[in-house]
Amino acid sequence: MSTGQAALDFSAGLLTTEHELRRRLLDDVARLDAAGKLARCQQCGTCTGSCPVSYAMDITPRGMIARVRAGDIDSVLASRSIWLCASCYACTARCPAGVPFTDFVYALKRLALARGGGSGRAFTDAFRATIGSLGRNHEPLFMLRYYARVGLLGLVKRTGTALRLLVKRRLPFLPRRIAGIGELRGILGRSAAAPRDAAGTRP
Amino acid sequence: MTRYAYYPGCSLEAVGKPYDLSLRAVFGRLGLELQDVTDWNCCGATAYAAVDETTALTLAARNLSLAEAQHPGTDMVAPCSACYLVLRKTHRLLAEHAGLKADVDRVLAEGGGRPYQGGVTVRHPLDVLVNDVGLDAIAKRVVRPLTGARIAPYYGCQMVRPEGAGDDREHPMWLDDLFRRAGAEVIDFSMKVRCCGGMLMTTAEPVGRRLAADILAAAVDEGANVVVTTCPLCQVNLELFQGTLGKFAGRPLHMPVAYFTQLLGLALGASEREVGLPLNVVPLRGVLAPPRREALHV
Repeated sequence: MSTGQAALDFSAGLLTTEHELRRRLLDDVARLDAAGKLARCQQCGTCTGSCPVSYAMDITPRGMIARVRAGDIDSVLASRSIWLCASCYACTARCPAGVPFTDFVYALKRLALARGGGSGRAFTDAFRATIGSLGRNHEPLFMLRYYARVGLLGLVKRTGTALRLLVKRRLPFLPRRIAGIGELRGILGRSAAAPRDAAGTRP
Repeated sequence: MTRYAYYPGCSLEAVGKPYDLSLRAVFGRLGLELQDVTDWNCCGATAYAAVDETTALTLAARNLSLAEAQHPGTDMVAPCSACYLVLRKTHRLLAEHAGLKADVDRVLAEGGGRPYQGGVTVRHPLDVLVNDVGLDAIAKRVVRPLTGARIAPYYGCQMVRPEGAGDDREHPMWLDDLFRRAGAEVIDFSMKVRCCGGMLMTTAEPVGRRLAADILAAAVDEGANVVVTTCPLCQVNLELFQGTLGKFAGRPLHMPVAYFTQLLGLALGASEREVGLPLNVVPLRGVLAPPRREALHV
């Protein structure tokens, strides 16, 4: 076992090696057969060239696939790149080998979150909590939750923007719950109540 | 009267209110009926896909299932590009992957819901206008040609790819064609399918700023006097942060950003109030030539 073992202490089972990361990633993408498609990547770099945010990435889209295939999933999960993907699907639309790269990034995001972190955690948690309590998004609550995690200074900077929207009656004051919130929580709670175990399956 | 089930999505209840108002105005004037899907939930957007795949698909599938039960045999209109993509993609994935569908149906049933039978076609309102109503029919209903408008047609990402309804992914033309028929000048916009930055304006501001600023700067440089959008997140990113974006770009980036349904609604004779123009933060003042009196009394 590596000396970095403590840093790889997962809440949903212990993953300690690159080998296990790989198995888990492949399990995740297997259902949509993304793994098979990933194998067809010819490293041409069309994804990186098409990506509007690759200039800001520490590992480019082409580089992510290369690293995953070479057995270095760990550095990809720790990169800021996966959290810069805004799901514009330019890579997916243009890939000559038909690799659904956007979906692959989702799988990487899931694995990074399951491992406990990444810069995307605060945003995802805030969104998840808002949908779980109301059934729909409520922008003010969502942003309060988000900035409470990453620093309230950001919220202060957004005050002007929020006021402009408020004046135009484009921000709702009171959050409202959908009637079927119980049913929805049943759906959402399921993933919290039954996380994937180390083998990647659910009870 | 042609009927559509209507899934407005969370944004259209708040920041995207002008989109909701103007969409209803346009559909009403063209004799298309929108029937609300009752008790819909968030589609999951891009964020939920990072949590858990089955959960994200089930969130979206609950809406498809509700629409199917409440409005059987009816296409469902989803105006927000993110909702449109997620709902269409979910429908396709569930049709293609039986195992996935079994998982999703089981979770729906466990929550007390109804399995999804696969019977809902999700449509973007632009698709409905161009392909169901038709450009000729719309052109005949134009009572106030959009003279004076020099439109940058901004399609964004998620309406055109990868679940688009037939327009070209790299160089879509539906908005271009629609607004030419409505009497506007439409520029050949170089950034029509570039990403607006989506949530990056919040999660990685320097990156998000650059994406949005590039789009606005192109609209200015290529001679537009208004940008039209098809998505609430694009509209907010391009309209609301123009001050910041101008500072970032080192020059003013002033540009009205309207929903395509707002301008089309005006062309079809709806009032500025009906299409929600008073709710826009950047006013459309001076974009349209004043209506000619004689034209209104033909």
